[in-house]
Amino acid sequence: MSDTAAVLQVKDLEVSALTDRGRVTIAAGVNLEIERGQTLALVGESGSGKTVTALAIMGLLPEPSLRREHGRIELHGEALTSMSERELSMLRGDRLSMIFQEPMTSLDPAFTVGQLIGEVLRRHRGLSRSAARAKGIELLERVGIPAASHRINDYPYAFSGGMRQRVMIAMAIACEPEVLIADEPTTALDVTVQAQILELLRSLQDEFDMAVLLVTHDLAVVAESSESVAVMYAGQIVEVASSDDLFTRPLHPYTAGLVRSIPRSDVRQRRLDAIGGRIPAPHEVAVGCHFAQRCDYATEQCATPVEIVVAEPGRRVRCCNWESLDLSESMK
Amino acid sequence: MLHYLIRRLLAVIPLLLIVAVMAFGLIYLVPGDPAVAVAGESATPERVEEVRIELGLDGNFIEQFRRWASEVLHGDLGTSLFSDISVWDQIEARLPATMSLVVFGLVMALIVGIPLGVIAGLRQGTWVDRLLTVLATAGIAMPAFWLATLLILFFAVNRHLLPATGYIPFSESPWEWFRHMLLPGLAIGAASAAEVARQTRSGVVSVIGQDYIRTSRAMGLSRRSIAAKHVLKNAGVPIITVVGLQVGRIIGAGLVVEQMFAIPGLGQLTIAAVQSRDIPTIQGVVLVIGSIVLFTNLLVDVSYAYFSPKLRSS
Amino acid sequence: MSDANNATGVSGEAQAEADTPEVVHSPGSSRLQHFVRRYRGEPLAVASTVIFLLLALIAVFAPLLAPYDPNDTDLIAKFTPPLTDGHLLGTDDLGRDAFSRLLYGSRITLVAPFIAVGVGLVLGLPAGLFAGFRGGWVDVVFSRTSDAVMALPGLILAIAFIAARGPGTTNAMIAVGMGFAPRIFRIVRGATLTVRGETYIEASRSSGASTTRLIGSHVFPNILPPLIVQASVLLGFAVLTEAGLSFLGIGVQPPQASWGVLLRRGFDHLQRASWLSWPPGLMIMILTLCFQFIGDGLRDSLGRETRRE
Repeated sequence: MSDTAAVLQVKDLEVSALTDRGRVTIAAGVNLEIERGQTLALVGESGSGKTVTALAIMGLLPEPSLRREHGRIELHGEALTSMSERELSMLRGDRLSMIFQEPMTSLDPAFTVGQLIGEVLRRHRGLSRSAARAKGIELLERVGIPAASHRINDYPYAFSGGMRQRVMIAMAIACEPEVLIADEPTTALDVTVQAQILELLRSLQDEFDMAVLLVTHDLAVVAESSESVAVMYAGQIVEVASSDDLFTRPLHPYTAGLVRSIPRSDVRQRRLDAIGGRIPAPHEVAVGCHFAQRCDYATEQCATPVEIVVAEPGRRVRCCNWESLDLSESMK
Repeated sequence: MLHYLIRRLLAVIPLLLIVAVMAFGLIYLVPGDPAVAVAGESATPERVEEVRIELGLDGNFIEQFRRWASEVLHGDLGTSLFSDISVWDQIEARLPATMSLVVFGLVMALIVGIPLGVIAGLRQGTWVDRLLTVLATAGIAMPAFWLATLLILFFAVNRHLLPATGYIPFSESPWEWFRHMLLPGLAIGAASAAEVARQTRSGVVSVIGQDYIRTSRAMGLSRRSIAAKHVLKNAGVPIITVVGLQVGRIIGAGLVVEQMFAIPGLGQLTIAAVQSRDIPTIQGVVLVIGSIVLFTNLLVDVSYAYFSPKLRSS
Repeated sequence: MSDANNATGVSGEAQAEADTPEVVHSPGSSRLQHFVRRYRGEPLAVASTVIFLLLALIAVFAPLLAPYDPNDTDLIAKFTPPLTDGHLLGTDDLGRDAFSRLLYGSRITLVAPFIAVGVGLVLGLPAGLFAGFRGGWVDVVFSRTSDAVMALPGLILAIAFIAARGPGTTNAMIAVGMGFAPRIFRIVRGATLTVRGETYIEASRSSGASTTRLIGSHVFPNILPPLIVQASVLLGFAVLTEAGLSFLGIGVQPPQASWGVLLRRGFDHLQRASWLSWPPGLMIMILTLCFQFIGDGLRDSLGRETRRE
């Protein structure tokens, strides 16, 4: 992935959290790139640091409990990380948007849907009230809300979870952003609605040629909707690959474990394969490879810090033994 | 929405009724025969009977209450035993002064309390927040009449900056009205401002952590519009609730402070009535104040529909 | 004012990412010990408790501590400023030693609030239990009455009562207590309703447990914490209301004196003897703050406990 094509670049991001034990690093050495019109899935279990990464990109880390220690985040080469809050707030909702996991609580209950969308349009596009309202109806229709011209006057409580998520999407794409970050957009929704929302995001991405960062823990979602995948474990990126490569030929033991543990409907399984152990807490991570203690293939070398390396063009992996492992065997 | 309004209105009526019963029942609390107590120990039996009828104490409780209530609804609150003037006339004459003070105190509580509370809430944990919290705590604990004493001492007695007594109606001279209201208004408003600040801060803090505020930030809204619109409106319910509660508190504190500043309001009337056991006047005052408070509560209730739209449909 | 949920300053996100240490309960420690330990961690509350106990001791030992008889008039020495002629806080318009009067005044000022809160409990507790358990129109009548009483400011209620029954400390405090009853009623009723709604009550009931036993073993533990907190807050209100009524001259009557009475005297002679207004005012404020902080401390150390359950 060349620098010039990337719309969004994350370089060497590190985030710390304030806990009972003082400041602890919860994500480090995070490097990501997303190109125009492309979806990069950021995958990991809860506690992997993926949500924190997404918030850091937007500049929405809740200080002082979470803090970006260092790193550079660039939107078309412009450094977001050296912007003031005021400058950043002008970008958010305009060129860089985010939607969140909990649609039920993410819309201000005291305002109508029309007012909420209108606010974004007036802030970034200076539209008049009536123009904003008209555009709002258009947007609601685009995201698949029926009877939009009536619904625009409704308050969030009148919408179901899936509908609220659509409203949030409408707010996020109102100004046709270049980058859309979706943090677990379907996790809180019914399975049937999940597919619809992903479909909607896909079609919007095509329409606006957006770069999408899809944060999720659900590999099934990844398979459906992303071109490339970055896997995070305990605060580190452990593998980056195209979605096809990742599922057929994972290079990192953790990735292999994740892929293996997807329940499959085509093959008879006698039991579900889970990865033994649990994610270490930030203060418990090893100095060396964070995954070593749960890894079936760990060697002595794994006790030393592991850098991420380019395995093949377009693939990166953080594993000192990747060359010697053939993990696609375990997929069968 | 209309449905909601009507329901709230209907809910107030039984409360008014109970307040009226309590006001009326006051006469029964008087030890011994109230008629004798009022007419005097040395009154003749005929005089006592006269007083009894005057007080409306003939007949059984329901009859008496009904009679009294119908008089009240016709605007007749009885006659003061002390001065023989109609109770309502007296109250009416003194209401403007008291209401001036109450409104002044309330406005002070709002324009000082809310902004300070918002600032403290937005800057939670910083020295600003801690300082304001300390001030608020001290303010709530300070009795209004002591604060009034200190204010008089500081501004009036030693330095003659502001008047220590008297009341000038707004219609006569707005500036003088203001000058005379400033010290007493400050004295009663301070504790309320502190309560409002406290509640506002807590409301702001709990709203700020909500997901929809994060959404607002993610959509690039300015800090100011987030604070002014989204935070305040959602914190509106607890804030307006505490403001509504201040009305009763301010009226009560106002009674004492009026005495101190020689303001010709309900306070003076009430104290004089207590000392002379002028029950009809007390009944009138209780009824009027109770009605004011209940009406205020109704307004607060109705405002909830604005702050929390979900209520409009229920 | 504490935001207990944010005590560690960790956001929801980071909380999920970082491990929270488990609170270890030492074996055999009772809830009381737990509460005491937590309460000790609240510096303001502890300091306030100490101050309150100090004031209580002063009240009890006033006769020993006071240099003069509080009612001894000495017209020659009237309006003596503080720290003059053996009068620590000066004298009032009748030459009475202000310091002694302050010490003796603490007695009524400290006791009166407890009378008021006691009256409130006597009225509100049974009413709340009754309304909560019976429900139906009993509940409606009691609740409406409680709401109506709350519509009247405490001072007004007290003044009305005193107008009918005559001035005096007891009457004043009974009146103030009546004003407190609705708040207590609410808490008790709420807790009773909650307990009634719990499924284990149905189980208990079907195995024949009597209402009394239900109240004893289930309702009381639930209402005790919020009730204690509320009582502390109400004590603070009672101090202020008593002071207000005494200031108006209809509360504590001479020859008795509370700090409210002293404040009034100070005000009456503000120009001539401003020193008389400071000590009672400050003491009232301190006492009110004490009750407030104790209440906050109780809420924090009891609140978490019940939530954990």
